[in-house]
Amino acid sequence: MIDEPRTRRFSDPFFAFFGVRVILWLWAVRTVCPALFENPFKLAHYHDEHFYFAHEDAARITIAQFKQLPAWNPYYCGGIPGIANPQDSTFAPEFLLKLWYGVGPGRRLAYLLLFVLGMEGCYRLARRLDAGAVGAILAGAVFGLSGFFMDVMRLGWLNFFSFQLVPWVALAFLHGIRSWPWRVGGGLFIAWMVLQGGLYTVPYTVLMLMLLTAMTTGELLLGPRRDDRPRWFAPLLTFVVIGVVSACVSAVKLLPMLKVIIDHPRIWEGGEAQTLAEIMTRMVGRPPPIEGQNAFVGQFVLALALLGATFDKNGARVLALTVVFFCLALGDYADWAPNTLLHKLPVFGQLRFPHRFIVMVALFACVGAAIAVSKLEDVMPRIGQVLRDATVIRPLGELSPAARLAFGAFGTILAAKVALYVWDGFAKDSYVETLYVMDAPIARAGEFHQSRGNRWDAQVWARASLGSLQCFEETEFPMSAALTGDAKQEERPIDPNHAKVVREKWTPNEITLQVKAYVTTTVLVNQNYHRAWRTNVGTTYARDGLLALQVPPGEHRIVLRYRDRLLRTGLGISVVTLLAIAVLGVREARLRLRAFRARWAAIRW
Amino acid sequence: MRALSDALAAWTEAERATRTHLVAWATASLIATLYAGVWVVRTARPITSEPAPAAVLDSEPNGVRFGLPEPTRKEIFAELAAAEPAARAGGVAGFPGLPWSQEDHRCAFERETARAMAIRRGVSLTQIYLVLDEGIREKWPGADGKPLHPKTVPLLPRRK
Repeated sequence: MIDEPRTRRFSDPFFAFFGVRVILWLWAVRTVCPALFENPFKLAHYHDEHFYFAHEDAARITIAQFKQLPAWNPYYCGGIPGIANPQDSTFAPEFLLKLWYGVGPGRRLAYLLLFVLGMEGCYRLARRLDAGAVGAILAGAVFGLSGFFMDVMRLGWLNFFSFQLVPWVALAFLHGIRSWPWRVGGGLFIAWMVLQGGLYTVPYTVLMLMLLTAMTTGELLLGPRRDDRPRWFAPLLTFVVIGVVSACVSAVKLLPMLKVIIDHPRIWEGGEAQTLAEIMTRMVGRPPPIEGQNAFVGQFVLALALLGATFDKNGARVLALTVVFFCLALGDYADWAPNTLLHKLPVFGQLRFPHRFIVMVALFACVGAAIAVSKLEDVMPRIGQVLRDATVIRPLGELSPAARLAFGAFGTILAAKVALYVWDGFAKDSYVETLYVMDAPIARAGEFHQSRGNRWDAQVWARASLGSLQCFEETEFPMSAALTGDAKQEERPIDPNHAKVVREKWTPNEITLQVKAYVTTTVLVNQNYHRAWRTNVGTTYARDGLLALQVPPGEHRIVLRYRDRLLRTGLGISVVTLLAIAVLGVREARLRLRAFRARWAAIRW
Repeated sequence: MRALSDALAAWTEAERATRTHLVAWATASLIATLYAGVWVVRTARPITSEPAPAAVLDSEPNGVRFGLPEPTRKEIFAELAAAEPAARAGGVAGFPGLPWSQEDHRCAFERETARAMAIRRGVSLTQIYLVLDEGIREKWPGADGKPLHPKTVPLLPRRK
């Protein structure tokens, strides 16, 4: 894993151009998942798609219509934190697509982008581990379109698509052992996962990095000492740098989110144990016959991964990672089970359903399969050499370049045949024709007010300028029992004889009221209380869980503002870090340009 | 023969040892990237070119709201309200002793009613829910002559 790939193969130049691969990835997505491109405003049937759509729509409305950061989400549960919500994805890069095209089409484009990124990342990871282009293409296509992603797309879990970035993190780690820019890149990819609300992705990826750190450190300590090898602590340093960069870049979400997680820990009392057969069924069974997520890659990919481990050191290392994650996916089958022990750690303790580790199994199985397919390419020139040695008595020299190329070409054809056979079976079983059947929500032009709501069709409310009081969240946010869906005034005096309240302006994070109080009194807002609400007159407090405001007598123009200090601090850290990375990037680009000029000067036409 | 041999070696070794090789490689790469850009645009076009559904208005002339006349809205509400007692009973039966889950289950029944009605009447699901909201706010009578309960049970996520 430490050493750069050295093997040259006939097929290498075919897919060397990034543009060619992008076309191939797009073709693969269109072939396997035509449903993605139909009815872009419609939604999938499953209610989690509606949940995420609702949150993203609330954030988009807050930004696009009210020009505010969606720090507070008044459209759900009677008001809950927005960006600080662990499942929020406002700062994820792909959110720009939702902002520009609307949440429905934006989500589809985000899926498309992440499909392509996942396939390309897996391709590059396989190539880094010395797989040939044909095998790596197969690995990229199968991993990117594996049953896991088809399944979470059906469920609407776009945040689980951050698993498509995992191969990039692995790649960044392996390159990062020798390269500073790659370390920073690895940090950026993990930050993307955090910002996307990748509640499973980040812990799984950190676990993978820990395993990779252990493996590569062991390789450096136990392997031969060479000048071209980095020092033994380079993997650990890479791990730390990736961690620091990711934490700093994602601080805008990480800081307020950590506060939420600490204040309202997600308590999960259930356990899960799976049999070997059940996990295997999730990998090879189609359609998946059991509840939960599958990660269909097909039996041939798994078989190839085993073959790859037999004939290649990197294949064996990749298989070791596959086995570790497979054991974790088996769940809590004993007190000493890997997942049971892992569950005792702080963040991992909040994760449910260990069978979701199968997505990591799928990744490394695909890389292993790529290595196996590449062995077919490698074996043909060797056979050619053996034939030459057998038929020519003297001199027993090397194959000529032309002969080597011919045998290489034959090997590539053989590998391509195998890859196409595996792909055909996989694509046929992964085909998703119809997915989006639910009506697109319709906008209503009108004042915001709370409604009794219904979380099963959560997509409806924010766009209709309504809040859905009935809701579901994984985090137990405080919610007032006094919230009502029939308030004549969303902001009202507790006693109508004590004050008159008129709403001057309403935005998600700021409410302006004209209050005429005859005595010291309380104004109630039909939203949940949160300590981040501030006022320019009087004081805010919680009354039966509602946001309440104590107002002195007199006429006041009161501005209630939601101001999350941790969000602001995090925003500052994120911006400074990104600026620093940009400066380093410019410096690196200049160095590369200088190196290119030197090379240009050294070669002739 | 020597030139051919060099070219073949360059193929397998991915060598770009001369400026000619380098420029040819960069040109081919640029063309591939541009063509990929065309593919990206073509692939994304079905997603990006579709117009968004039109908005509904809060109030229109002749008592029309959300694109529906008042009698139709009252019919829709009456149908939703008529289904609510059974939905509440179903919620209680499904999750005895768990108020949030009972309410959540009731909402699942309500969703089925709303979706079926939207299909049957050829209107949007949003319109159905807007009418339900209007009926609750205006305290239109339900099946038992009383308005529907406007509140919900505070959030209590499941732990198992």
